[in-house]
Amino acid sequence: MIHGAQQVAVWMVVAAMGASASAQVDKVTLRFDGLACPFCVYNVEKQIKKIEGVGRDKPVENDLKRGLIWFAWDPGRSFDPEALREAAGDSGFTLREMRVSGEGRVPRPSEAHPEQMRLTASGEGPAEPQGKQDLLLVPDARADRREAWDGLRAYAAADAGQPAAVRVEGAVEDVEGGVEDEGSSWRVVLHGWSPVEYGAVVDAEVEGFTCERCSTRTMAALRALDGVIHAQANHETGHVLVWTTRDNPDVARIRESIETLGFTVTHLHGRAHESAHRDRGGHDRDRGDGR
Amino acid sequence: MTVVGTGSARTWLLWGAAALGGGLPSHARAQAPINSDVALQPSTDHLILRQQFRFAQADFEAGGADLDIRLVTSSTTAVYGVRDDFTLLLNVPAVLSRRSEDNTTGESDTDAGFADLTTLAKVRLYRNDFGPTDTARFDLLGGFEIPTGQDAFSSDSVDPIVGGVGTVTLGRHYFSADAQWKFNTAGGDWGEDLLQYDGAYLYRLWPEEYAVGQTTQFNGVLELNGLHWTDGDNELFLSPGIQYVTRRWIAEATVQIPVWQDLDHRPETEFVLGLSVRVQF
Repeated sequence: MIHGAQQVAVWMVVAAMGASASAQVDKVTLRFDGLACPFCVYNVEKQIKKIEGVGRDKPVENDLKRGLIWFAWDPGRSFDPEALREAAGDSGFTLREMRVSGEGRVPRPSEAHPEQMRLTASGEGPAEPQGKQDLLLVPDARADRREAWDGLRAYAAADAGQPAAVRVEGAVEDVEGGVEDEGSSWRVVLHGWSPVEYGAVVDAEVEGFTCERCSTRTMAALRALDGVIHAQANHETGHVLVWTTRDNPDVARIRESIETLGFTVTHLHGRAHESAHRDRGGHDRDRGDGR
Repeated sequence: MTVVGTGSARTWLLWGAAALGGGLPSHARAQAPINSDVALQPSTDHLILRQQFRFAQADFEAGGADLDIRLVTSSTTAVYGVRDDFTLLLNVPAVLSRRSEDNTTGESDTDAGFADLTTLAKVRLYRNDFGPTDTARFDLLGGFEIPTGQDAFSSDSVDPIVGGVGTVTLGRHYFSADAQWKFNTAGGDWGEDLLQYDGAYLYRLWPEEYAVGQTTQFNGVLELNGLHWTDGDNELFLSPGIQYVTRRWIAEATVQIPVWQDLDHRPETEFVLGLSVRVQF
C-alpha cells in the first residue's frame, strides 16, 4: 500500500521579502518495483500522462534494469505529488521512490538582506507533510540562521558570499545539487530521492558527532538493520532520521545501534507513518518514544 | 452441411472450441504465457485487445470411420482494467472446421460460426513487487461461458468458470501456473465439466540486460497445457513458443504438441499452431 504523505518536497516559486526569486520542478523520476518488460512501462506511462504537468506529448524515458521512469515537468505547472502517487498506484506496479529535480534563481544575497536567499518549497516531505515549508539557503557565515524542517533541509554553503554548493539533509539521499553564480543572482539546482513507502520514521537527537565520518558510520549501521529503509544523520546538528518498513519501529535496536558506536542518544521518537498521514494537522500518534 | 462419419459432430466441434481457446482467454501483458491465462493485468482504465488465430489438425476414429479434422479458430479478447487489482475480460471465439474421411469415400464437410463467448472477472488477491523486475502475483477469477454461439459450436448452457492463477517474475525468468474449472450445466452427451491447467516458463532471450530506453525484447516460451474432462478424457500439450514484445504490442507464435492423450470420446490432436497479437490502448 502506498501512502500519500511521503513525497519528496517540491520547489516552488516564492521569494520572501519581496525579492524576485523563482524555482521550478523540471524533472521527475519514479522508481518502481515489478516492472517486468517494456509493455509494462507503457501502463505506467499512460497513467502518468493523464496528469497536468506531464502532458501527452512529452517523452517518458525508462531504465527497466533499475525500475526507473522519468519525464519532464511542464514549466509553470504546480507540482502535484499526490496525483503522481495515485497514477502510479493505478498502474498496478509498486512505486518505491520519487525524485524531483528543481532549478531556480535567487538574488545574490548580501549581509544587508540575507532573507533574499529564501526559497519556498511546497509539497510534502516524508516526515512532516505539512504543506508549505521553507528551504533556506544560508551562507556558512550565518549558519546560526540555518532553518530546516524535519523532512528536508537544504542550505547553500558559501564562502564570502560566493556560492559553493547546495546541501540537502533529511528525507533525501543521493543528493546532488549546485549553485552557480550568475552575477546578480544565484542559479540553484537541487534534487534527491525520497522513500515513498515506509511504515514509520524515527527521529533521534545524538550527542558525540564530531565529524562527517561519525554520521557516515551511523547511517551505515542503521541502514544495515532489518526493517530499515533509509537513514540520514547530520554530524553538525546531531539529528538522525530513520525510515522503517514497520509502523512500530524497534526504537530500542535503533538506539543500541547508535550507542554501540560510542554516541549518546538524547532523544528518540518513533512516529507511525499512517498516523502522520492521517493527522496531517499535527496530531501524530507516537509509536515507541525512546526517551 | 453433410455430416460424415458416425462420431458426434457436435462433440468434436465442442472439443475444438475447448482445445483451441474455448477455455479461458489469454490476456495480455508481455511476460505472459501464450496458451493460458495469466496474473498480470492492465492498469486502471486500460484496454488490451488480443487477436489469436490457431490451426489444429486431429484424427477421430468412430464407428469404423476415420475422420481427418482441421480447425481454424479466431479468438478475440478484450481485457479492461477497472482497477489495478480488478479486471474484466471478454472473449469471442469463431471457428472454421473441415472434416474429411481418410478412407475411400472422400466425403467432407465444412462448418463455420461463432462459438460461445466467455466473460470473466479477475481479482488480484496478492501482489508483491520485490525488485525492479521482480514480482509475485496471485489472482482469483470467475465468470461464465454464455451460449451465444451458433448451434454447432455452442454448449447451449450457461457454464460457470472458476479458477486461479499465480505468476512469479525474477529478472529474465517468468513462471506461471493456472487452473480453471468449467462447470458444464447442459448435461447430456456433451455435458462434461472441463479442467484446464497450464504451467509456463518464459525466458528473456534478448536483451540479456535492459539498456536505458529499452523498448523491445524477445522471450522464449515453454508451456504445458492440459485438458481434463470429467468423462475421463485427458490431453496434455508441450508448447514451445516465442514472443516479440514492444511498448504497445506483442506478437507471438506457438506450436502445441501432444505429449499425453487418453481420449475415448474426442479427437486426438496431432498439433496446434497459434499466432497472436496483443495491442494495448
